[in-house]
Amino acid sequence: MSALQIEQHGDVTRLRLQGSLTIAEVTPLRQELLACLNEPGHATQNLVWDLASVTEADSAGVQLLTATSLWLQQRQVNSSVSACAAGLDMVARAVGAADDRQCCGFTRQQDTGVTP
Amino acid sequence: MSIDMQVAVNTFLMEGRELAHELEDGLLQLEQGHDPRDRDLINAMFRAAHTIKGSAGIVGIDSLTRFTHDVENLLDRVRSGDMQLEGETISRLLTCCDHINHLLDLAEKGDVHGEASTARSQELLEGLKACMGQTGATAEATPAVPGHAKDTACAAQGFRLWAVFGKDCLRDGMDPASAICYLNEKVRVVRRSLVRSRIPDLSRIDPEDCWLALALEAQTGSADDVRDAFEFFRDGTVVTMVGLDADDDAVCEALAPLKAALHDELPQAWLDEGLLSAQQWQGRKGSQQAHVQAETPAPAAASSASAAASAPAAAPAAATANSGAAHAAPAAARFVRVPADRLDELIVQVGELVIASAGVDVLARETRHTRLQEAVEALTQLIDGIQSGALQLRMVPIGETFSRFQRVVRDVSQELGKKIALDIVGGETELDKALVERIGDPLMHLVRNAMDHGLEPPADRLAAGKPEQGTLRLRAFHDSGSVVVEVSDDGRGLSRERIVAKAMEKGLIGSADGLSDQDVWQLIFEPGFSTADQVTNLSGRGVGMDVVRRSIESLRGSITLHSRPGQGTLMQMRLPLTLAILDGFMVGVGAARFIIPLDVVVECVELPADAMIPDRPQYLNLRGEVLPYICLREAFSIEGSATRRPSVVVTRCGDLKTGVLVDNLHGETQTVIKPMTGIFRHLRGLSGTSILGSGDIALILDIHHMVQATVERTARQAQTTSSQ
Repeated sequence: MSALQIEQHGDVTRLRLQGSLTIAEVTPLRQELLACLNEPGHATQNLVWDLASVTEADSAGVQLLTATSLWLQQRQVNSSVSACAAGLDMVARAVGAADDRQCCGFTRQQDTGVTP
Repeated sequence: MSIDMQVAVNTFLMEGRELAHELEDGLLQLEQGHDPRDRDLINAMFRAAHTIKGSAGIVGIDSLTRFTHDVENLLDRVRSGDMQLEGETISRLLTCCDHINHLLDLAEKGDVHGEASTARSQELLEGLKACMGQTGATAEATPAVPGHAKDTACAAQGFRLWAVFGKDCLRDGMDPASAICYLNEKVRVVRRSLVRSRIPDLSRIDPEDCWLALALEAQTGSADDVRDAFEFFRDGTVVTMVGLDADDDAVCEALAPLKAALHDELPQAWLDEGLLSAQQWQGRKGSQQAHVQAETPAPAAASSASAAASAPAAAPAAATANSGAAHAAPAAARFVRVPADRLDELIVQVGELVIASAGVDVLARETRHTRLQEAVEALTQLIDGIQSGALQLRMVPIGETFSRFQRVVRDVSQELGKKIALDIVGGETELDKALVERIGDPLMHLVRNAMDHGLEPPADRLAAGKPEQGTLRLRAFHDSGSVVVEVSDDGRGLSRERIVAKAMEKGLIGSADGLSDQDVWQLIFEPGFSTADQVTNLSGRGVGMDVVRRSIESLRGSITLHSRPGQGTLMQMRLPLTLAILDGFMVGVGAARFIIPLDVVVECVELPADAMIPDRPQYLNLRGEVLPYICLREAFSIEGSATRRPSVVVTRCGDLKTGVLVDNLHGETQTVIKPMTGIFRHLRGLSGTSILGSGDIALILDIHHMVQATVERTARQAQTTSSQ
């Protein structure tokens, strides 16, 4: 199971993804992401992802996050990742979707690395 | 567990056993003198272990994943030339094969962690580590350590790899990230790049489709490592690779299948990361080959795969591996695995079709409409063709059953201190799958008996002027619409004197006067008969040969025995080709129809007038021989009286001749057997039913059990009468 939490801090929207991010969750999670990001005010100019609480991930999860970052880029939304779980980071790096600068297309914030 | 996962587990349990058998078969070949440097054989064994491990991981059988990992490591070291398989190591690996089967059994019962067998697993793995230690290496030095690569000649070559994953691979449970993480453990990847632009955005993506296309460069590693990592990716996935020093032509050639998979769209991300140049993508060979690939994807992929498989690992030339075909032998692609119950269902449906067509045929004849009759006849011929085709689907070669005895012969000969070679002849002979499954136990009895009692110890053989090594032969062939399966040995043969003495001791015979050798040999099929002086683990308890005969007869088969003192013994089983169709003899009592299996029918005679006396014992004089008979009308409580000229069908089951009294004889018929189900399953004396063209039902008689039941009933009646 995965859960999406949204917090609004001024002009910054923080999205925290928790739980599992695998093929079993991607279909409902896509719906949830679309519904959330289409909400007025959510897909703001500053969107920060907190991926530290992702407990497990696979290629399908990484692909969904990448598809999300592409969708946000098309809408010229600046999105970054503040923290990323080690497991998710490893999977994303394996498929070439992450490096030291970005994760699944989201820019890594400098003061946050990988959460072990 | 979801239904899909349960299906996957069941499929794996079946495949796992086949793979364990494949591994065992390879080990036995090596033990029997096969070239230990045969790369094909070693690679096949490694792949079997690797596939067991990988598939077990996918379906969550942890015990097997952990256990097979070390088996795989050992085989990997053999593959890379660090050690050779011989003597003790082969024996230990054979024991590991047994344990893999045991873990599969446990998993089938729900113990996926192998908790009931942890100690045994540990003990065997210690043994494997000892084997690896003997060759100057430790188990820890295996290549499955992150950041380390194999120290082989090809390891230093490195490669560039491009992969476009099939759309359904995520749904099929194949995770590219897992494969690449596995690869990361074996090779050192220095850069990689994902074609992000290929992934649809959030509003358009079906997130269960796979859109991943990535390239990577590794400074160490070989084609074998790549094949191992992507082995489970099937249809639609294209993986190609070249050595780091490959020239542009080789790269162009390797890229051809990728261009088709990417629809010729330039993967800019790969160019940006330096994993490809625009020149290489648009190379002079490119467009032409992409065209060929698009038109004939399957052959192109297959040839690429074979090129990869045959290319020396150290060669820097292009190696293309469509992982869908990379590890499949060309022949394997021509087979489709179908659950046996679906085939059974099909056979039943076709049987119904035959019955329905027979009904139509009867109606068509009644109309006397010539064109209709011709059309029905054409239809019937087609249905006959479908029926024989459907029955053919269930035919499997007996060779697989035979080859399982390789291990039995090896283990038992070691146990007995005998030297025995197994000779398999006619393994390609086909028979019904149901029969193949059911002759396993009788065959095992015969093989063990031959090894224990038939074949002599080496010293006795040498003293008798025979080769030290005895031969046990399993042979199968088709003969007159039946399948003959033989078990023979060149051992000491049967001792007429000992059999006669034992039979007299048990009161089976009064004397041997007038008994032919054949009659004497048949005595060993009597219950409890054994001439063995010692009861061993293998045989000699006297429970076996009678069970063997009953098993064979229950399959509508027969067993005969031939033996020559000092020269050996031959057991010959004759079985029907299939259990689904019966050649029968149809008889009638009143309006009821019965079918007697044709192979038990000896002759038909008219019931003599003097035998038709009510309440007298049912015997008749058949040319001086006393023939007991069963009255079907009485046996099935059919009302009405017998016809004026009833007939007796004389049948033979084993040595016993029995008559069956019926009103009418309708003659030979070929019939589709419908097994007794539900509450009728346990009825003795009936082996099934058949629906006639008229729509009527005919009962198929099981004469053997019917006679037995009648004898028991008569004995009970006699006992009751005497006690009164």
